[in-house]
Amino acid sequence: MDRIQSDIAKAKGLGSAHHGAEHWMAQRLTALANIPLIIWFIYSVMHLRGVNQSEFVLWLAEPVNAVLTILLILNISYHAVLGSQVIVEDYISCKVLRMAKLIGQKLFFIAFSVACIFSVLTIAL
Amino acid sequence: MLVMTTDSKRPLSPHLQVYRLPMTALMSISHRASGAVLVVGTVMAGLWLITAAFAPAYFDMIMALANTPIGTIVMFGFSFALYYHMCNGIRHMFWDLGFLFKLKNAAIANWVVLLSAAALTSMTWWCACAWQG
Ligand code: HEM
Repeated sequence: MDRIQSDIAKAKGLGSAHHGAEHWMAQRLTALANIPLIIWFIYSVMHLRGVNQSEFVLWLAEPVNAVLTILLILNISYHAVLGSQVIVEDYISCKVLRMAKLIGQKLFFIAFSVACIFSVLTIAL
Repeated sequence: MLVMTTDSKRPLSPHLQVYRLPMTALMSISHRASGAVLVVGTVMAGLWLITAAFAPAYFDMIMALANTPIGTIVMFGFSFALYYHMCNGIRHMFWDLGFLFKLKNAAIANWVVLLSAAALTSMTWWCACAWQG
């Protein structure tokens, strides 16, 4: 955190939210990493149009495809958690509801990405 | 008592019901909207992946649904939302580096983002159709 913050920001303290720089930076880093991953993903889906399950399994069993798919899941999930967090913080003012939504989202995306990664491994290994 | 008339010289707060948003503002809220749409798309794609491993019959059903006219329209919508969000996200990162803030440049960037997203979407579908034969 102190590496990202400017000296003046450090001197002034963290503002009313008490956090932010890390979140902001992580949103950008995942955004950057998303660009090549998403281009690869769209390209793959174009080729996968109309495949049946066994053809899809053959494709996903390729190590390159399995690894890139896992990276995609991790990166999108992280980016999506950060993104939906800001949206919830902006629009839900009731503290209890907001907390419930924020925690629920995080737990959901953890469960979601683990289930997706487990599926990739089941097919690829 | 304060009377607000339309020819008042006082600045108006941009109340959404009475204020026509400038294009930069519409593009800004569209980044958020497309992000929310993409979260839904991500969950759908994830379910598709999970069925491939654990429910092959459902996988084939999803593939069949995706190939219906409505499925194709939905996929087209997701592809545009994704390209829009990606192009506008790149513009966000230009902002973060301190570029594209002048009104004129912001206005040009609006169109660069929109046209790039449209071009990428068209290109994708054109290729997808050509490859399928
Ligand atoms: C393709 C590459 C992508 C790029 C370059 C990108 C870029 C960005 C950037 C720079 C932001 C921050 C915007 C801000 O600070 O207001 C952002 C926000 C967001 N992104 Fe992405 N993104 C990408 C893909 C995705 C995907 C696949 C999803 C779906 C899960 C997603 C969901 C979101 C959400 C929900 C937000 C929060 C929107 C907001 O704060 O208003 N993004 N994205």
